Amino acid sequence: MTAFSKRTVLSITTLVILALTACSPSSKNQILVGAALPLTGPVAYYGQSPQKGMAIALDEINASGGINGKRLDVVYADTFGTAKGAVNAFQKLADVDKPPIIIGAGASIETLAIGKLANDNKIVLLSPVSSAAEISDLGPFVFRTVPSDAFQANMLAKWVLESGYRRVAVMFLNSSWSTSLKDHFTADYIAMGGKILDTESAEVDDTDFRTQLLRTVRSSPPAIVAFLYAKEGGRCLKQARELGITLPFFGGDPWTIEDFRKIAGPAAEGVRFTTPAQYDGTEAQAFRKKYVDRYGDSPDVYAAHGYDALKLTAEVMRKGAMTGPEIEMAFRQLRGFNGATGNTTFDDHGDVISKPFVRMTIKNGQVVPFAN
Amino acid sequence: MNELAQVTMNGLVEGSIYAILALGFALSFGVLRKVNFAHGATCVVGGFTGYFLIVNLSLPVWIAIIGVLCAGALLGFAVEKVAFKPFRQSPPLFAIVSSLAVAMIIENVLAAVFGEQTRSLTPGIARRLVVPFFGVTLTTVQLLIISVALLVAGLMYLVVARTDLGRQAIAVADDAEAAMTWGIDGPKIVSAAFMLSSSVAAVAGCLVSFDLGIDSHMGTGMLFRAFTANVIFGVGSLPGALLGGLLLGITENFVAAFVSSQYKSACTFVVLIIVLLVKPHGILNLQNRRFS
Repeated sequence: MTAFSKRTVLSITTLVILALTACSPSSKNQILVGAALPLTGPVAYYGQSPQKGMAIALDEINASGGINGKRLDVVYADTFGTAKGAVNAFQKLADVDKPPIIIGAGASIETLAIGKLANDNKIVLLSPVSSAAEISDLGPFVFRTVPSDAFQANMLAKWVLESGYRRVAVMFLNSSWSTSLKDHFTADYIAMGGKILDTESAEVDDTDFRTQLLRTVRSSPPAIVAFLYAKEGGRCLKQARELGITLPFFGGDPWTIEDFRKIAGPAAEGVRFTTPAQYDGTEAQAFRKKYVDRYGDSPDVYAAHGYDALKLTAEVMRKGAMTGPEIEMAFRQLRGFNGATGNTTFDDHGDVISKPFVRMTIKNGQVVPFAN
Repeated sequence: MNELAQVTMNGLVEGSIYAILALGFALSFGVLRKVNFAHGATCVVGGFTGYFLIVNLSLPVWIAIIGVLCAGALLGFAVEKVAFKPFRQSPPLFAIVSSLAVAMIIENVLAAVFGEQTRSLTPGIARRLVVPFFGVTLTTVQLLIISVALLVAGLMYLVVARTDLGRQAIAVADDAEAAMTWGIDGPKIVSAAFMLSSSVAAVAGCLVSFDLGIDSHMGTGMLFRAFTANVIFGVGSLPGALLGGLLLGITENFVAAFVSSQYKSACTFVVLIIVLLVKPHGILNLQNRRFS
């Protein structure tokens, strides 16, 4: 090896070492929080919305002194809306950035995929979106700011019965969120005296629901309960009305997302759905104002949950909980944290017990509270 | 409403989209004997181009359609030059990987530029027509889709059977080297076939965005359907592609209606596997008849 090539090798090695240290986990004056969210892919709105809320929270936290004088930073990893993507994102964060807490994931299937990893690595997982009921049993390190679908299913079943529909047809998607909600709804609705006439399924990303709709009306249901995401729900409603099906539709929280109204247009009018309550306290109003000033449109419920997830994290970190196990303990002891989504108190399963679901509908293209 | 007739009609509408895509696919496969994995992505580009021209630039629909055709042709030209031409002499795997890479780039650029939301050219409820037979319901857009499928099939058949370009394409498809010794400009014919194939795919995308709305991730599903529709009656045959597309659409909807909606997408895989196992050259073995 010539002297020159030796020098080259040495300089390259130095550069590599420098590059590696530059992206090593939190330096002395910085504290890192991970975020594993679907920033691209078919359910990207479950990642992009919380991300926008988290950006506002991050600015607020650092403007008010960071974490006891240290700067807080968030490292994002894209989960692509899939279980595999979530595992990759989690492992990248856990191996490279080593944060004590990861905010995520988005779709329930992602959180279900990485829950065990969070426990094994003693990294707290705090989801601002995932609502599948099964997440309650993932273990001590898994928390979420959104209420479980077990509550949503129960409330929806009561609402359908109160509206006078003792028999319904059900439509759902082959996703963890949708099947879990469908299963809980079916069990609760039947236990309350209702009867399911027909159950139809479709795939996430499906575009044509006409044949499923034809099957559902075959059983002459007085109403249809459809656990579909925003995109699929919008298409389904549009196609139902185009087929001349005028039955009332009930749905779940994704119908609050703008995509649903954009695709369905006038077909969305009058649909009824449940969604985590949009809290309207002073914290929520302040958050909404900041969001509108920054992004030009009003925040959806997941942006507020992203904001709260990071604020909650900063709150316990400021009180000295800096490692995964310390944050886990601090979350369990936390009582009545007030944020943009209202009051957060966790139960033994890491579920919020303090946030209700509310009844909503769409009137003149706007999401409004349902009035009897 | 007669359920059987309505399910058939739904199948015809969905099948028409598959058929348009499959026709384009058959053309590019016919001349080159290589699978263009960017075909689905081209369809999505067509949908977004139509959306951009009609919604963002407020152009009239007919100008937008011309724009979509041009965008498709340009993309087809580029895809052939980038993903196929450099690998003309290489094993087929090279072209598969390179066109797959192009498809992924297109999908991600679209997601970055237009975002992840679904774009619908006609949000809300399309005008409903009740066909006098059996009380079948059909929207104006769906009627348009079926008509365009038949029109595209007819036009492509005319181009291939009645024009010099078509005859030269058949010659290149049969034996590219022999065709070139007869003075046919092989690379030019391949380029032209890709441009036509891609502009047809782009039109399909535009129709999808009228009827169902389009998002950046629909390409793979579309490509898979186009491929299956081709395989049913023999890859590379134009009549086979049309019939295959319609049959696939109707099969999917019948399975969903009379077996279970859970098997709707799965049945496409089943059809593909059965045909490949039992009749790898297609049910009617149209593969060796080239475009006829």
